Amino acid sequence: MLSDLEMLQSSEEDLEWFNKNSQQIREKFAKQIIAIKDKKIIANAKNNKELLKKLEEEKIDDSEVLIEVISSPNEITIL
Amino acid sequence: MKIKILFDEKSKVLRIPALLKIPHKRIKSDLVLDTGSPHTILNYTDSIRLGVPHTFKDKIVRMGGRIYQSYLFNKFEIVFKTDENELVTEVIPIMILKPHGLNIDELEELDEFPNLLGLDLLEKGYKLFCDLKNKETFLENGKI
Repeated sequence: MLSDLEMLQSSEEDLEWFNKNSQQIREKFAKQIIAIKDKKIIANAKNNKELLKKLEEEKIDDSEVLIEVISSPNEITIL
Repeated sequence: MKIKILFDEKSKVLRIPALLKIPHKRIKSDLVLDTGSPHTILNYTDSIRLGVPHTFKDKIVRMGGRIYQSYLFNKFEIVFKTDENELVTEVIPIMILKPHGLNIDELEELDEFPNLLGLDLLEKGYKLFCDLKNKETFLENGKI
């Protein structure tokens, strides 16, 4: 089992990878939810319920993936 | 020591990688820094991943022109990593939002909200340094 520090280190690396590739990711996965692990998109779906189900079917521990919502390239989110 | 904040230049969002924890469960996630939010908010999906109960009703929250019912969970831990590879753990009451009415579409729209790091966590003594031009953004706390 990974330590908290190892989980956070990989989380940071995955997020940096996501930010670096966000343009291409938004074009390919617009309006979807994706799961990222080890700098790869390992699953994608229309909503979180479907995504979590896919991860379960693939026997992937969802606690060890980053889940990100991908908006359309011509959308911005204001919180 | 500093907690790195990552800037997504395309979507113009500041994100902090974190471990989110309740007793006996942790998940990898990230929080979007939102100084416009008084409270730190856990998104609906991560609340399901963690098994956080939606039991204790708290305030009504207005966000994006919609009204949500908030639920409070007190024993919530957010773990960050510093630039010196040390762990910083903050225990903070977390809010989870659900639609105020019974509209299923509104529940699905909750999928789109990220976790938000609000002012309540910054009030614990963090300084925010944000120089986007030079790509240097971080939180700094005197106790770390």
